Amino acid sequence: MLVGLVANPTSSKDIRRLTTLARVIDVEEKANIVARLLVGLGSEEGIEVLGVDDQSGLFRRAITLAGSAAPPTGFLPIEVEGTEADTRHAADYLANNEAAALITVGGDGTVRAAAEGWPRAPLVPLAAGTNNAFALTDEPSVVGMATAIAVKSGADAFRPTTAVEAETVEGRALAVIDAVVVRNHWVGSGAIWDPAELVEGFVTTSRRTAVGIASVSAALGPLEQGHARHLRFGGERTVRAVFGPGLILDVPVDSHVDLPVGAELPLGNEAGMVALDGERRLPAKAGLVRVVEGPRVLDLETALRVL
Amino acid sequence: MDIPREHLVDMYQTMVKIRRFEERIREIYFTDKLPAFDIAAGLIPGEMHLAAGQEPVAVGMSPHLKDGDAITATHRPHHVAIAQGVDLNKMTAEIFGRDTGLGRGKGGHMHLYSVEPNFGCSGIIGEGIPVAVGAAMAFRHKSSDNVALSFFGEGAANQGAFHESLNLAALWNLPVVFVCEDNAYAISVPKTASTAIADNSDRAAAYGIPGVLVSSNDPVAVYEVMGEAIARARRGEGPSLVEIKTDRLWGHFEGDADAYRSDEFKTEMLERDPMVTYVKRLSDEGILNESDIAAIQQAMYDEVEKAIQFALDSPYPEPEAALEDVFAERTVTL
Repeated sequence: MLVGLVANPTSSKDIRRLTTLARVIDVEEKANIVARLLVGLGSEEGIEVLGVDDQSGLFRRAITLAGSAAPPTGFLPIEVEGTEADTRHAADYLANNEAAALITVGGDGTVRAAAEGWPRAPLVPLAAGTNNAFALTDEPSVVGMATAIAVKSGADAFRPTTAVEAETVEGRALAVIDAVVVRNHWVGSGAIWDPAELVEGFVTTSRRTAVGIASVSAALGPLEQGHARHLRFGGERTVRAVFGPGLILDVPVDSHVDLPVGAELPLGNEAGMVALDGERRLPAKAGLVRVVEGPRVLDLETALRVL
Repeated sequence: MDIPREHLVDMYQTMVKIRRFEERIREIYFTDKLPAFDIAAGLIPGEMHLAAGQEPVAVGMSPHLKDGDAITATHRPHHVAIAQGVDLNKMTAEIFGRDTGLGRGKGGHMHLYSVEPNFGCSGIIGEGIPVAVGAAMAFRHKSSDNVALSFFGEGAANQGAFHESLNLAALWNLPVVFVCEDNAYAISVPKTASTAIADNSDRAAAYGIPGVLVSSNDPVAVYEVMGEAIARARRGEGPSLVEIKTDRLWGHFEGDADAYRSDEFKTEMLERDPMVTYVKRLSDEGILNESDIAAIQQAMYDEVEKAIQFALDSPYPEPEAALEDVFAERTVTL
């Protein structure tokens, strides 16, 4: 059975190394994470793994580290550019070739790019990013083993998620955790680290252990599956949130409302950029955000219960 | 943090000045050197390394600097020197080997030294990295909040001096920002053929300091990251390593056939030329209109021409001046 793997060599290296206590996750560490994943995947017969032959050599290094414990591996037949497009192209190829699962190794931005290439992917998002609001932070060999068991058994181990789609004059893009309008007019270094920048946001989770904008949503109470929460920032009322690694802040939230899949809201024209899963991407002008179904994500406990 | 308009405009203005300077130096450099390339001939003898394409790396730091900050740069130094505000007349005269130059015409374009602002560069790869650490030590001893910045190429990050400098700066928590200008080629050697890892910012982890990767050659991205890195150093929170993926649009040196880079690679670089993409964004955002852009270009062109004319009008040093200014005369009391 075909399992796809995309590991982002550049995740966890942005400006938040300076503005929070987050530190670099280097390529060698990521190669080690992928190697442990491969060992887990190799615990079941009949799994074939195709990964991106990225320019950093991460996937090749992981294959070497995993050695004979790895399942049969190969490289995805896509043109590698060394940009986020690699993740989208890989996901698109895997969707067209009916892969049983798509594993991402990176941060929330890596998951977002994968979901853009395959919106309803059976996804296994392993954390190697900064906030990791969406991704699994479990031991990679456990995640690999659970993935192998899930795809071999055919058990219904993938749970639904909700995503949001932003559409502005400059295009359309998906977010798996949050789409946030910020005052800054520039893509710049991408990340958001200052709550004073926030205007409004759409968040797909209220998981209490999440970091970033998702942590703000969590502080406002549970969110029903199939919904996204619209937040308007500012005002007197604040909620305490883990805004980044080692960064706990009181974030002003003026109002919030929960919206079901299918709902859409226009964005205010006064603001600057829409940040998707923590990265400034699109000018907000004349934009709207709609709530959509997201990728299906592996539930480790469900998969491992099949054992 | 929305970026102040004056910072956005200043960065563009400096980018225009740098690009125009490099274009004009390139034109003049080849005067009397062709048709058979004679490196000793012409108004600017010797090698010439120009930084067209690497402007964002330099201009992103400028708005965050203050008087007294120290900068060291590489054998490709013009963009950094201009962005720090080194006297353009004296710098140009130095490049032309004139007595009015920063080093009285004895250093040439790879050895530009300025006391105010505090700038130095060298033809020796990695030379400026420990020098910046020394400047940072001096700031510490003087209890000043000045910072030192060291610019170096991705090839220099394989030198021992790089690792020794990061180690000492981290050990002593010094106010220094290490800036790796990764243009993917050390002369003609691609980084993939010389470096064991993909991103030099990873190396910060080995010394327990923050390492940041700026993967786009964008002045605003550099501005944001350098702002945080410099502020952090100024607050006494220690060194950091910033790696910026940038583009060297022209050859390693003027006269380089540049056959080691494919036509496709060169075309892609031109398509993302920051001079084009940045001014378009300023225009789209309504920060500059056509007339503003034309006025900035004219002003910068005039400043560059004035500096060139200053150099051309300046005398060459007398032969007997060769032994002057070799040793410092001041006695240091310990």
